[in-house]
Amino acid sequence: MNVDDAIDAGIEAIRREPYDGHSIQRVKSAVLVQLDEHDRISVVPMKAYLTRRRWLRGIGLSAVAASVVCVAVDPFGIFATKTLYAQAIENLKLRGLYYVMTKAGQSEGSQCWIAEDGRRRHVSPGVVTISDKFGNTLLLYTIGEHVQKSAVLFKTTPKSSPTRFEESWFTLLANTNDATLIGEEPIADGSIAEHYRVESKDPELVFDVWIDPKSQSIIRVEFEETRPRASAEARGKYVISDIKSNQDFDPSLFGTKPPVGYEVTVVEEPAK
Amino acid sequence: MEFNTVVEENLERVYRIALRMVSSCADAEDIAQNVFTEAYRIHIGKAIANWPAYLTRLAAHRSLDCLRERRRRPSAIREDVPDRACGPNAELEAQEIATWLRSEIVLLPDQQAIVFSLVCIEELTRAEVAAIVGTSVESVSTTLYKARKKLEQRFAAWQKGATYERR
Repeated sequence: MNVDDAIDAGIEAIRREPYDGHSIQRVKSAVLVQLDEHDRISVVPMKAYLTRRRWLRGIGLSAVAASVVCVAVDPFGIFATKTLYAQAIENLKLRGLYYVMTKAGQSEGSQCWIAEDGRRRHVSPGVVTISDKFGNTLLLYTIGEHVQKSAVLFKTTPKSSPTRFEESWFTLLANTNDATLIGEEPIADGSIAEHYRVESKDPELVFDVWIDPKSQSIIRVEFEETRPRASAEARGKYVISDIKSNQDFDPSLFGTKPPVGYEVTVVEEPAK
Repeated sequence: MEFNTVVEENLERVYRIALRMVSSCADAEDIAQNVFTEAYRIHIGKAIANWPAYLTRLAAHRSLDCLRERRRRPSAIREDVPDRACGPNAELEAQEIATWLRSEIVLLPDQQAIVFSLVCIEELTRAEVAAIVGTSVESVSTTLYKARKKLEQRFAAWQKGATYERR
């Protein structure tokens, strides 16, 4: 067989490969469930809803930040030592959140499935990211069985892009034990911060992290998103600042009455 | 247009492109799902004039990303690249070449890989591909010619290597 014929035979073999309708149905089901999450408010075990009215009033995350009660815990002091890293991961995992609400253009990354009896069956990836137009991001952790509410609030520069990976950035940080101390550097308020380089498990992602030795918390993260799976618009250099962790919410942000124009949807887990 | 309708009308094509390029149902399902989710997010911010073209391009790009990700894992490379020495039967040989083709398409520049996949494997016309990648029909023909030439050269080298190994 000459080269031309051989390549044609290879192409023909690919064209002849069968594909089954079940796969297409599975994809369709998964996609429609995801769209449903974006378009409507999805119900999770506590039957709580983020009211659309409040978002539309333009409160946004800036106001959320202003209204939260700051609980001074130290989940990110972990970067000083390995032990503190581990402690922080535990802190995050213990802070379960049963409220998962999505609204087109304002949230992403949530997949929360429940069974008909109201018990949670599967939550993935365990984090909901909500970004507003000012670049503020609210990261809600949904891991764990505890009925507690908490979040990490931070500001990302440049501001929000719909295909970013805030949750994966923080997950990588939380799962990386090797932080190399680069040195001490003065920061804006005149105090000294420790500068660490964190080589994440994802080899393409290296974080520069500044820690306040007094509070043992992260005050700034810089990195460049270059991973192949990141979309073109998500690639680039980012700065995460104004980090506030373990933020509790103003309870009035949540209610049990669906807002006008929204219907309650129980999202079924798509067949695997 | 309702996005649900966009999904209904384009799902099969997106899935088929992904499957033919990556040759794995699970990966193709993931790619198709991600393509629609990504398209939906972009659609919120801006209007998409030609959904089939947009989704086809996105599916081809994401399939290439998937293949490249696979290549970076040494074990996956070993699984994907066939041993040229086996399979005397013509059908088996064609399947080997198909596997080899997939592993080589990923090494082509993006535009060449996408044009080659859409014209040769997906059987789209050059005019359709030109609309999808946003170029002229002539440019598609040139790109296709270059891609094909590269693959032919590499195939000849691969064939020679296999013959040598068999001795």
